[in-house]
Amino acid sequence: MEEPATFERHVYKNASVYHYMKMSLILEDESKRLIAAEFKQLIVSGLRDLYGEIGAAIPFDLLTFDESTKTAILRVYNSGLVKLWSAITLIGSCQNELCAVRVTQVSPFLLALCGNSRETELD
Amino acid sequence: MSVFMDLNISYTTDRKRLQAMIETAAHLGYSTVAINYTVEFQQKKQEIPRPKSVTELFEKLPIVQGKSSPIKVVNRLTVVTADAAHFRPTAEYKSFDLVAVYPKTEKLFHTACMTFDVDIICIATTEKQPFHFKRSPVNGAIERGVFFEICYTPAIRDSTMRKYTIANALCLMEICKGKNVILSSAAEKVLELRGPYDIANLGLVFGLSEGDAKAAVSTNCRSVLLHGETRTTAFGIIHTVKKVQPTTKQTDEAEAPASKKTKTENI
Amino acid sequence: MVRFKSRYLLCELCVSERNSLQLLEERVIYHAVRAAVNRAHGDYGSAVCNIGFSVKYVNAHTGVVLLRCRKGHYRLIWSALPFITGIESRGQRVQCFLNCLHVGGTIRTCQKFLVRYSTRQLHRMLLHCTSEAERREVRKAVMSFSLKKRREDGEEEEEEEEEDDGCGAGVDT
Repeated sequence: MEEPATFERHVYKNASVYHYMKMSLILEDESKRLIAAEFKQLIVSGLRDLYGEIGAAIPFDLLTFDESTKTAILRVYNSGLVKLWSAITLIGSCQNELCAVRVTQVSPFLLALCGNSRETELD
Repeated sequence: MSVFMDLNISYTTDRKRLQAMIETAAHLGYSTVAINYTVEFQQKKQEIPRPKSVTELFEKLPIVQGKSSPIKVVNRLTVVTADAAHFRPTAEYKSFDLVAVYPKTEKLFHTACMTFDVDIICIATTEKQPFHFKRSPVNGAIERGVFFEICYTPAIRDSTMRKYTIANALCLMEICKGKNVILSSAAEKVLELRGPYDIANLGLVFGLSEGDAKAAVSTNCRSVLLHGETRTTAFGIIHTVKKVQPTTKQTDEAEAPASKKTKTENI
Repeated sequence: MVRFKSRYLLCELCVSERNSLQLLEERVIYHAVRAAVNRAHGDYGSAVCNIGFSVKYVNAHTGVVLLRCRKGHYRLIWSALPFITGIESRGQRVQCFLNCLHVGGTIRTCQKFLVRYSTRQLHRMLLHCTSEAERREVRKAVMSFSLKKRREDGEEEEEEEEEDDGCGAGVDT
């Protein structure tokens, strides 16, 4: 008689230390170009406006920035997610021009950002 | 998947801008938007504007991203009141799907919460709150099914308005404990709109809990729309429906008090 | 019981020279703390400050400051206090820092703590007294601590007497 198979269940409460956010910057003048450093500066200034010096010091990394489409992927620690996300939502202007940053995806896993899990169809 | 709604998009006479805003809202994932006509009686006698019917604006409504149905557009009236005489529910109010009031004094806030026939009470976000919220009118409004609205667009525009928005929102949350709150933009430009999950996150900053914040953009807005519907049918006005049965059902439901109806529909 | 709970932060203003304490006022401290909270915590901090924050008591002789804030946000305001480098009033700028001594839920508990703290400070000063006359003064001051009811609305003010001079040999207590 075989022994019954034993299973172990691992439950992770906090799956990942970081959260990854994918977002795109939308400007009124679509042809304007931005470099990665300017985009990071925009986010830091938004954090400083809303959360002060302590907010501006929230450590986050700009993993990629595509200059032609102005989309970016950010990585931030779990503790700073709410502050960073709310500061990004409330960014109103960039270099004296009206702008909007639209956050398209947020996930604790980087792999999830490559597709839309709700509409993906597996063959 | 919950439906997200943005119940405050300012009406502009510029038709292209309005169309662009509604298209952006559909692109962001909102299934319903409300075009807001603001009326302020303090200036010279203003007539209540007649809402443009939705078909005038669009021949074909844009499809909501992630769904297959087009976006739903309703009309909403906001009355800015500094005096009790400003708010007079006349027949013209019936042509709007939602009615909101923006009280400027404490007495008006009290009467608006307890007696006025409105769906939404707007909370000041561009100026310092001139009066403190008291528990009794707020609780009375919650029992009646009236919702408090916080607009987030002033926070995007200006730094001082950001302070007022957050301060007023925190005060309200302390008293109402996160119940009966909706978050909406008061957007005048396309770039002032934000996605529904972003707004749910902003709710966390304003002092709501996570569940309450998501409800503020989805289920609470749905309750507001239903409350608006009961407002029109409760007066016995029957609007044309295709079948006879739903009409009687609607008048039956209208006999129940408005607050009860929203609670059962919420389930 | 439905009531807004608050926290009272008892702080001591530490300056290099005691004479500059004379220009201490409630308004001055209020602006200094608000500016520090605005710099450290931005618009969110300013909004939080707008709601329940006030300066309840300032003693220009001893440098004791009592701040009141809402229970939910007292940590935010407390964390901004170390960033205050100076206060400015009537055109003069004084270098100082705020040292938080006690956090209490009511003014009464803060006052009880202040009485105990001041007696301990005076005992320390007793150790440094040089002449017998000074020691007598200090002992008299320690004995004369009392909590008097000044106003009808229940706010109690403390009667304190402190001798500011003292240095020198130790003494047995």
